[in-house]
Amino acid sequence: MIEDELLKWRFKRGSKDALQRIYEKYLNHLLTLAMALLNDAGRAEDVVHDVFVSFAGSAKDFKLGGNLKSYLTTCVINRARDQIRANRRGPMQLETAESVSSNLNGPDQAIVCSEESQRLNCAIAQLPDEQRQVIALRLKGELTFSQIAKLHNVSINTIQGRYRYGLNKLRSVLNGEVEK
Amino acid sequence: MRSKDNVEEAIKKNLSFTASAELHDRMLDDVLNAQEKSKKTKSAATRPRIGRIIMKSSITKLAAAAVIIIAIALATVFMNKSIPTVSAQEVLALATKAVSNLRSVYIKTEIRTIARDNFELIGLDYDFVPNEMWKEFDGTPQGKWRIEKSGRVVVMDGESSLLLIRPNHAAAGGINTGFVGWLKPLLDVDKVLDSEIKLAQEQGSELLLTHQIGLDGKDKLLVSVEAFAQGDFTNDWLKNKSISASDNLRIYTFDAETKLLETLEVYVHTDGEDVMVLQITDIEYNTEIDPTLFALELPEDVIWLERPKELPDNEKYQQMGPREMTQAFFQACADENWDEFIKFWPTSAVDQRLKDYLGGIEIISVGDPFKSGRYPGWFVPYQIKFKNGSIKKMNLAVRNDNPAKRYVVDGGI
Repeated sequence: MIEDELLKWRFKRGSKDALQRIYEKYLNHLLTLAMALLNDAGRAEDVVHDVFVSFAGSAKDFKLGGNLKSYLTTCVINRARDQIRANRRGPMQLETAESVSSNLNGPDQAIVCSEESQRLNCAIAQLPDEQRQVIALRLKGELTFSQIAKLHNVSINTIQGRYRYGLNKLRSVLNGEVEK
Repeated sequence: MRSKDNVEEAIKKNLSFTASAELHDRMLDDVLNAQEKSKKTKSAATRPRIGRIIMKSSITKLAAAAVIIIAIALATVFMNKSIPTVSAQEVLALATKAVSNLRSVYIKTEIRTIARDNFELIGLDYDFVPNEMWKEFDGTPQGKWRIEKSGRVVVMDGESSLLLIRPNHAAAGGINTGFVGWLKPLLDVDKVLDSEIKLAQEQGSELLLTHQIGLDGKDKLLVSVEAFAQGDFTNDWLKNKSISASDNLRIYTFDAETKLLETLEVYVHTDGEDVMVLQITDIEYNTEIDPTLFALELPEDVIWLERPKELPDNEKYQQMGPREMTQAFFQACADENWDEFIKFWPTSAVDQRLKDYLGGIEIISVGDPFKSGRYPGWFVPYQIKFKNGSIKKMNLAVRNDNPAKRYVVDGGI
């Protein structure tokens, strides 16, 4: 917590080391969130890349009073949601999701993950877009239901419902896998 | 079967993607290039800080005071709408209200300083020296307090203060006598944020407040203050020799519920690195303090540090400038003329150790006086040779803001 305050301070003064430390500290967290939201390695990479590049260029005007991790997380969420809105393909279909996830650990892949991660992400990819987003924002973005509700401009009950249904479906998918 | 909780836990813990080394390096290059590019595109001209401009104008000072408080509130309300923030009311309550039911505080700090030197001195290369502070809030504005490190201690018994520089030098002071510099506002732990807001108004420091979850799982208020070195550092002799003479970052954490200060870390920003110079290592509230801590027993051979008195031939000394005074002072040392020496070194007697140290020196040079920081006196460069052959090159601090209006030694020996 205090380290982040120091990093923000040094970053604001143009420290290259501070920026590199921030990058290394939060890169994988942000990639994971972007992957959970988009389930597309290329788009996740683009989103995280753009967030960091934009962040790097903002040092002089940087006036962040809030938590650094939450700030970067919010930036990724906003950009990922922009991507989702812009790309009306919507949530990936099962076949596509499986093919993307199954290709993740190839020799030339930019984003790598464990088998368990791959399985979980594949299961999340099968959820309807609204449920997937709520699950990703809650469990990987560490947002409260209230914050997610504001983001989606719906009631907190709706968000909690989507979350509950999403988890139930995930459980079915994952248990179905086990039973196979 | 996976339960709902297991699924949540699995996603939280096990869903994790990692950038390949190639992606990591490629993206990092882009990010660092973006930072470099941003630096180059900024105007080379140095703009004066808005805070400084505002604070120069007496008309805008009052408005600025209000604006700063509102800005803190607004920053916390509008920054990152989607993350937990502190309400404006909470910030203002924290900023303006003293912590209630506070009977006492004990603070242990580590400061990069010298044990026998003044409390305000810091040095980026010095080792950490433990400091302890006690305060009893007895309803009076000053309370009773004690600040101590191995080489010196100050005690305020509620009516007057007393400084002991171990082993045997002492000075008496009133309620508001200095002695402890920047540590005093820290000891007033119930008003520490209030003090920072006032400093922000006076000195143009930047103050930000964040709501965060601490390592103990409790809600914390984290206040970071970016402060800038105060004074004129055309000659940078005093730069980074005290917290107020440094560009520094002060990070306080308060318990969000009780509003009590829990930690403080102070980092001095230098060109190459950020050096931590002060940290609170322990803080305890409302513990019983032994009343004897607020009294000092002085050694029998105590030598009092005194304010300079008017001399029968005071005018002669008043006419001496900083350089002439320095020359005369070291000449008195060289001649072992202690009656003359004490006119420049206002104490009740001359310590034998000082006589042994300075007696019979040889003056190599005395240079042109200069100002640095906010020090009200002058610094005079000198070079002397001791009887044992060793040479010392330093700056003597001299000042004449005393009733006798003549220059006396204030430090630098």
